[in-house]
Order: sequence, then C-alpha cells, then structure tokens
Amino acid sequence: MYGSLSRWAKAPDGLCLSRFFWRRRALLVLFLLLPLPAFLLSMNVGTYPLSTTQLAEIVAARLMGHDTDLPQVYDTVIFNIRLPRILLAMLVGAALSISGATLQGIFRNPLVSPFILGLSSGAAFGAALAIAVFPQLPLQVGAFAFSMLAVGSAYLMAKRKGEVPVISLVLAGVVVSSVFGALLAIVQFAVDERSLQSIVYWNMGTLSTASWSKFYQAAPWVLIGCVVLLALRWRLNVLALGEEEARSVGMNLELYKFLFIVSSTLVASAVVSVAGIIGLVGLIIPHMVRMVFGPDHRILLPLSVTMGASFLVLVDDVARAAFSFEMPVGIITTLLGAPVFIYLLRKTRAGGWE
Amino acid sequence: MDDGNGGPGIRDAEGVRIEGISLSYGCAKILDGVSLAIRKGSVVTLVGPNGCGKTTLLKIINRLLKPDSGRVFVDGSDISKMSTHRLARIMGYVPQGHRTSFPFTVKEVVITGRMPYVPAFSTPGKEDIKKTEQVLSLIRIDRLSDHAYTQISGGERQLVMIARAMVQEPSVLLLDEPTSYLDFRNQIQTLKLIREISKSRDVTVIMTLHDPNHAMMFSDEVVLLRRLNGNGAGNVVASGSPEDAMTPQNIKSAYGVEVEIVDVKGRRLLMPI
Ligand SMILES: Nc1ncnc2c1ncn2[C@@H]1O[C@H](COP(=O)(O)OP(=O)(O)OP(=O)(O)O)[C@@H](O)[C@H]1O
Ligand SMILES: [Mg+2]
Repeated sequence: MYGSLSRWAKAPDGLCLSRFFWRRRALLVLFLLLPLPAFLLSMNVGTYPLSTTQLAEIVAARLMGHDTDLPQVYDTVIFNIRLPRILLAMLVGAALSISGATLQGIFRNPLVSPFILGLSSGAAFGAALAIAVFPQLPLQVGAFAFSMLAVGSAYLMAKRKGEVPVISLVLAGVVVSSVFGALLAIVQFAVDERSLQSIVYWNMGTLSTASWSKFYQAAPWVLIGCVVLLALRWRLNVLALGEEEARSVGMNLELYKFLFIVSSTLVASAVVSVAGIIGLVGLIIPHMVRMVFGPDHRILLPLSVTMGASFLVLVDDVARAAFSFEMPVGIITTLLGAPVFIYLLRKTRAGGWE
Repeated sequence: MDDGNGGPGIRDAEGVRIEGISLSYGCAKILDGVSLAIRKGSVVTLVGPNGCGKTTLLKIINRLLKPDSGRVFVDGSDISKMSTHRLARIMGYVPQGHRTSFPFTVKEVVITGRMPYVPAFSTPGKEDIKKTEQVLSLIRIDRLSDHAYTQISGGERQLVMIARAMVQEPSVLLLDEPTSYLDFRNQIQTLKLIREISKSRDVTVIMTLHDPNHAMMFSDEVVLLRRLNGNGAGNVVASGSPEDAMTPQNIKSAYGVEVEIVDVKGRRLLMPI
C-alpha cells in the first residue's frame, strides 16, 4: 500500500542488499543529525541584518565569557529572540511528530493526527476562556488544561467495561471536538472584537511570540512524554499489529494504550498551549519517515523527533523571513501539508481502517 | 503459581484441561458445557461445521474471550488466575486470518512474538533476533524475512503468524485453520512440521482444520463438534483417536452429510457419498 520507496532498501539479492544496507544506514544517520544543520541555518535567518561572522563572534564571546565591541542589541537578537524561537520551533515540531506517529500506531491508521481525540478543540476553547473570560488565568495554562480535559473525556467516553476500543475512541474524539468547537463559538460570539482577534490569531498557530519562558514551560512535559514514548517504542509495533494479536503475545493492552495516549497527549498539549494549533506536522512527518524507513517504530519514533524538529524550524524560517510581514507558521504548514495529505490519501487507500 | 481450587485429579493433570465451558453471544448460545482433556505433547484437532464454535473455543483457551462459565487449566493451573505475561509464555495463538495496515517486514512481525520476554522499557536483543531467525528458517520462510508483510500471499502470511507464535516458545500452541490459505504442498508440509514440533519439543497442539482427512492423518486425537440445536445435545459429538471419532455416523450427526470410509493401502479416507 505504500510506494515501492518504503521497501527499496530491502532488495532481495545479496549483493544489492549490502549496498542498500549501507545506504540505509547513511540515510538514517543523516536524518538523525539533520536538526544540527537546520539549527545553524536558522540562526542565520532573520529580519535583523546580522552576518555569519558577527553571529559567530557574539556566540564565541558569550561562550568564552569575554566582551566584544559589537552592539549589545546583537546579543539580544541572538539570545533573546532567535535562539528561543528556534528552540521552540524544534520542540513543537518534534512533539507534534512523535505524538502523531504514536497515535497512528495505536489507531493502526496512517491518516491519524495528534488532534484526533479533540486535543486542539479543547486547547482552543481553553485559550479563548483565558483570553476573554478569565484574564487572570494564564493563556498557556488554560489551553494546556482544556486540551488534556478534552482528550481525557474522549478516553473516558470510549471506555466500557475496562476496555477502550479504537473505533469508540475515534467517535468520542469527534464528539468531543464538536462540543468544544460549539463552546468556543459561544465565547467568540460573546466577546468584544479585540479578544476575538486574539482568539482567532491564537488558533492559527504561531511561533512569533516565542520566548524563553514559553520554551521552559513546554520543554519539561515534552521531555517526559518523549522519554516514555521512546522507551516503549517497540511495544507500539506489537500494538500496531492488532489488538487480539497483541493480547495473544501477552501485552497488557489497555495499560499500554493508556500510557501511549497519556504521553502523546502530554507532549502535544504542552506545545499547543504555547504555540497554538499548528496543523498537519504530526501527520506528514511520520509519514515521510515511514516512506523511507518503513513502519518499525523503533526507528520511526526517534526519526519523527529529529525530522519534525528540522521541518518546523525550517518552515518557521520561511515564516520569519520570506514575507514582508510575519506569516503565522500554522498557515504555512497547513498549506504545505494539505497536498501531501491528499497524495497520501490516494496512495494508501484511505489508510485501511480495520 | 496457584493452581486454583480444583481437586487432586486436576492438580496432577498435565496438558490442557477444559471444564464445562459455556458461552453465549447475546442470547445465542454457542458453547454449552464443553469439557475436554488434552494430553501434554499431543496434537488435537477440532473439526466441525462453520459457526459451531471452534474459533470461539480456541479464544477461550487463550483467554482472549471470557467464558460465561467453566474453566481452563494448563498443567494444572487455572489460566484465569495467571498473569498475562505468564500465559503468553506458555501459550501461542495463530488467528484464523490476519491483516495489518502498516507494511512491517516479516521479521518485524515475527519478533513481536518475543513480547513476553522483552522487558517493558526495552527493545528485542540479540537473543531475540537469533531465535527469530532460527524459527524463520525452521518454517522455511527466511527468504521472506525482509519482505513487507502486506505484500506477501495469504498462505505466506499464515506461515509468518505460525512463526510468530513459535518464537513465543509456548508449551501449548493454538492454531486456527493453519492451512486454510496454503497450497497443496504447503498444507502437508506445514501439518508435518506442526507434528514434528509437537513431538520434538513436547508442545501440545490444539488446532482447527476443515479437511477431515487431514485431521485424521495428522492428529493424535480428533474432537468432532456440532452447532447447538437446542434439543439438549452438547457440542462434542465425539472425541478420541481419529478412527474412533471420525465414524460415518458421527460425521452425519455433526455435518448432516453421508460419508463412507474407504481403505487406501491401509489408510482410512472419508469420502462423501
Ligand atoms: N463477536 C461475535 N459476536 C456475535 N456472534 C459471534 C461473534 N463471533 C462469533 N459469533 C458467532 O458464534 C458462532 C461461532 O463462531 P466461531 O467463529 O467460533 O465459529 P467456527 O467454528 O470457528 O466457524 P468457522 O469454521 O467458520 O471458522 C457463529 O455462529 C458466529 O456467528
Ligand atoms: Mg473459525
């Protein structure tokens, strides 16, 4: 069902095999290290004119602890504007991708996104509440709490007799999304124009308000979730083969489903609460990795992290520098992602729900 | 491990013991008080018409389904009291049909059978990979190891799922129609192999087959089942050695089909009339 690309590294005859094997290895290392060049490139991008040598000089000065004769504002641009934004972009990209890859494994469907269980609608409603109704509630806290609440209620809704069937989860996710969508509409209807504008803008997903504090707010949750997901990643292979198949080899199905859903939700909620709803990253990145390396989650999860980080930071470079105004990055990822999604939809026979 | 509160007879019993299993789906009763005793290391085949509950019974034995009443013992221990982990180390299960949406390689599929041996926060190690490779060549599908599971034939998939159950190193192997998609040669080879594994490793095999002649040729014992018809007769028409169980009268009462037995060079074959 995937293009021949997914298996190109596995030619049948021995001679080719070793050559392909090494090429696969080389690609793997390349993909794993990609965040590094992406980071370096992004440090050079920005509206404030700054040459690479100046950049190097300032960074060196900071690292060595000595002074430079370059203006102080350069230091501010690099360490308080570019660096937090780049790191936040990488964090968000990595988080959305690993969350998407995980949920696709649980649902055994490559067309699932991190928002399938109502996470984004919950977050949007929470953010709107914080913006318009309870100004004393920090926006991030509102979004984080309500996105977790949305996924939690979808999970509980789908739970029956200690089991959470995948198909019920999907339906519960749809219901929860609609309910929070309606609640959001009420808020939007009731508030004044300025708040409405902020709510709409938040929904677009942007990194332009990046700051160290946002990075530090999201990073611990992402870290915890990623550690759990990466440690359990092989279990996703077992789960992705089918629930009965997983149970017959002794997997405590409901426990692992719960762990995977909690961790992936934690990771995605944390970044959505600081960056808004950035669409389709969590869908296309795992897909691209799968097309090259196959569906083995032992490789898929780590590579989703590095590819997601690199992808979003590069797209954000475009958002920062390509237009005369700041384009919300969520708009670009969605416009980029939609054709990829449609291509995949046609290519994979609607993802083959079981 | 606790062996339940069964009597001393159960305590001594080796192999698989099924006691008074009943199950209904909704209000349709499928199994009614099925009891069987299966010797350790024997190959036992369940035969019977479509929908008589063979798959259901296998799933109950593997605890994938909970019966309304009745118990299953393996080597004297009640399976309902075992940890999932322990159960998976002693019992392997090959479902009737299987498909997946992700193109995992055959190797990746088979190695998931090592699940009960791989610690939670870990991935399969060298030992697991070695065992996987051994089983792949034992079942003679090593040439498929790097193929996508979604791109091999139905019969090959069946062999892959058998391999997956084998790497679990179970002492009881449950196979649901292991030959349904296999070609003529592979049917015979696979059934021979299953017998070989059973005999050489003292593995108890419980499988379902549709071909009564295969059941007779490759089993130590045959259990002939029928659909419940509401007149109080149980599911088990006959169980015992192939010769005793598969008589024309028994076949008639299970399937409603007339057969005769023909002797071909000392082999008994069932032929429909
Ligand atoms: N999940 C289910 N819900 C309701 N009824 C079911 C379910 N699974 C099976 N049944 C019914 O239970 C009966 C027994 O099913 P089972 O799959 O055990 O039959 P079987 O003997 O394996 O048949 P076959 O030879 O076709 O594989 C059938 O009549 C079937 O329709
Ligand atoms: Mg069946």
